[in-house]
Amino acid sequence: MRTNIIDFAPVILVSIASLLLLLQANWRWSIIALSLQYIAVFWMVLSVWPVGLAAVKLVTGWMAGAVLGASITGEEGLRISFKEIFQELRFRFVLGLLIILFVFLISPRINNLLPIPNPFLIGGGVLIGMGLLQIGLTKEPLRVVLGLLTFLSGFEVYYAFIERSVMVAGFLSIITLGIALMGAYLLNLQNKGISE
Amino acid sequence: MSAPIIWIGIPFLISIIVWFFRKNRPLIIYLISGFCFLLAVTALIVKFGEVFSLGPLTLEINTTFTVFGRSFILQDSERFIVALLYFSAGIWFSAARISGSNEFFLPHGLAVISFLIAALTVQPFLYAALFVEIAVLLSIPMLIKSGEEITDGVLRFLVFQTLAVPFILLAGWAFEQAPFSANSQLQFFQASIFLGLGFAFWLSIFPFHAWVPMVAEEGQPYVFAFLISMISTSILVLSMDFFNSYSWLRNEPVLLQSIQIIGTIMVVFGGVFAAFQKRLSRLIGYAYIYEIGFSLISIGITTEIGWETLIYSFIPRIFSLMVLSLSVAVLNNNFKTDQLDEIRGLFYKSPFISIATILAWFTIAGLPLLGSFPIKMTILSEISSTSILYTIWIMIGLVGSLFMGGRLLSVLFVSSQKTDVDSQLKIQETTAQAVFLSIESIILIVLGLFPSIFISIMVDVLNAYTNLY
Repeated sequence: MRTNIIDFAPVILVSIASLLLLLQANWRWSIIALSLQYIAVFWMVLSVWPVGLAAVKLVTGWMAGAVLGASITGEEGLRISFKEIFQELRFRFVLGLLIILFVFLISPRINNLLPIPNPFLIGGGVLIGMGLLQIGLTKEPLRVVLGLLTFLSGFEVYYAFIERSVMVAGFLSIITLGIALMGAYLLNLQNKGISE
Repeated sequence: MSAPIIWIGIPFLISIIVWFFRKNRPLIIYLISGFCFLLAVTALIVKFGEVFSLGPLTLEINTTFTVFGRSFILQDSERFIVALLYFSAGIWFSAARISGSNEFFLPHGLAVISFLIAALTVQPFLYAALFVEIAVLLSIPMLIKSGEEITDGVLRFLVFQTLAVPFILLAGWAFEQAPFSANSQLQFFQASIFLGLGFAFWLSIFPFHAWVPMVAEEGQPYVFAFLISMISTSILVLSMDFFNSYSWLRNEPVLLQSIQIIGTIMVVFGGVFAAFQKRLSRLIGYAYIYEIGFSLISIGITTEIGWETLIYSFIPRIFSLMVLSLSVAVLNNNFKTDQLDEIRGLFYKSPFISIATILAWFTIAGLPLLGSFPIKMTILSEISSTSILYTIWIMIGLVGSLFMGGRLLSVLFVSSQKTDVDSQLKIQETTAQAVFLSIESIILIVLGLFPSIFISIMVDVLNAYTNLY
């Protein structure tokens, strides 16, 4: 398959959105970044799936974001508690860039393993890497859930290219929503703990 | 009526209905436990796919249920696994009230079992990963204590179990592609790496085991033991499916040796770390690591004896973890501690907890005359015929677990104050606690004295896996 320069547009969007998600301390911006990520996932999946099926990913991702956003109540929940100091942000930014660079460099090797066009290989890889980084850097339930959703969305990009089963797509959507609902439940418990 | 509807669909529907009545715990406990026992007994006596008569009626339970072009097939030989899961869940649920588990334990627990059985029966079986993940998501509310904060262990449990899903799905795809690939050997090798990582996350195999003692310590030990028992049993049966379907896995010596090495590491890790634990709840985590190590060694043996020991190990493992977790849960409820230093001479205050703990731990350790002794003995004798080095390391793990048993004996039976007054028996357990601990302890003793009972039940399970050996 010939790679078109426009194919790299969702990769750029996914890199910016996942970096934003990694760096943002404000939950509203985090949910917006998650929504942008799912737009990029939809864009990438669109090249192999019909619009109707690809839209499932977008709608599910946005619903997951909405569920998480709705579960954060009051001013206490407005900020995700990682220390918003300059060094922390700089550290996260450099790590995020390293992940993007690493994925870009190893993508030809992964191509031998998975028959996926290079831009989408990079896009999915960035999501997987950023998701794992997000999970590894925090103990906060919201950030862990955002990391898991990012990781899974990267895998969904890969899997869309190798398996076109509607049933698997449906189940993955159920799992995405399930993780978001579980995140909402955990956030609810956390909010109760803060209010008590 | 088909078997998947009876043993998957109806339990799931009931779990949804009882979720709305979960606050009414005594009623729900009777209802769900009774229902689980009924499903277990029915699975034991009714043959799937055969016509049988019930009074004037003639009934047939089909093995297959098809939905959206995918099939759920519950074969006759699998009914023993179904019966085991529901029977053990029935006992687990019936002691829910004295264990201090939260209101979600029963409805979510029943749903978890129905999804795990769905994972065992779905065809193509790579879909199993999706059902196991749904079961994991449903299990999270059960693990968090009422009114307490979310713990790191629970988050790690969610993360590690979720990370398994992509690897299992990719493994399924890679195994399907490998025979048609120009370099099929390489593709099979890559598929086995995906599969290995997936199973490593699922079964918390070394080095992905860190969350196990954490959840055991921070969460609810009774619920945690239920979850790891049910999930690990299902995953191990699923692993048999993979080995049965792909001959490459059975015939790759590097892979089999790696499984044995990792299994041995887990036995040593579980046994030695258990020996130095100061909290009983963490012991449940190390017992699980130790047991999974033995299961991996059984898989690595790949002979008929290896697979048989894997199947036979399910019953003593489930029941010993059940008894150990119940005694830890009751201990926590009665004394608000499970620190070994703080429960010296416990036998004189809580003899039922003490005896149950000792019995359960020695069953796990593999002491003669207890349930898992014949299994561990067989594994040791099989492995000793191929590698003396593995045997020595496994023995180190065994000695570690037996050392912990010795520590438990000295802590629980020797009073800190050596006066006659303190050494007199003053039972502080409630009647319900004493009854449940006694019944479960008796089950462990019976399993040890008459191992042929559970061996004869489980022997037919292997009939479904004709390619394994």
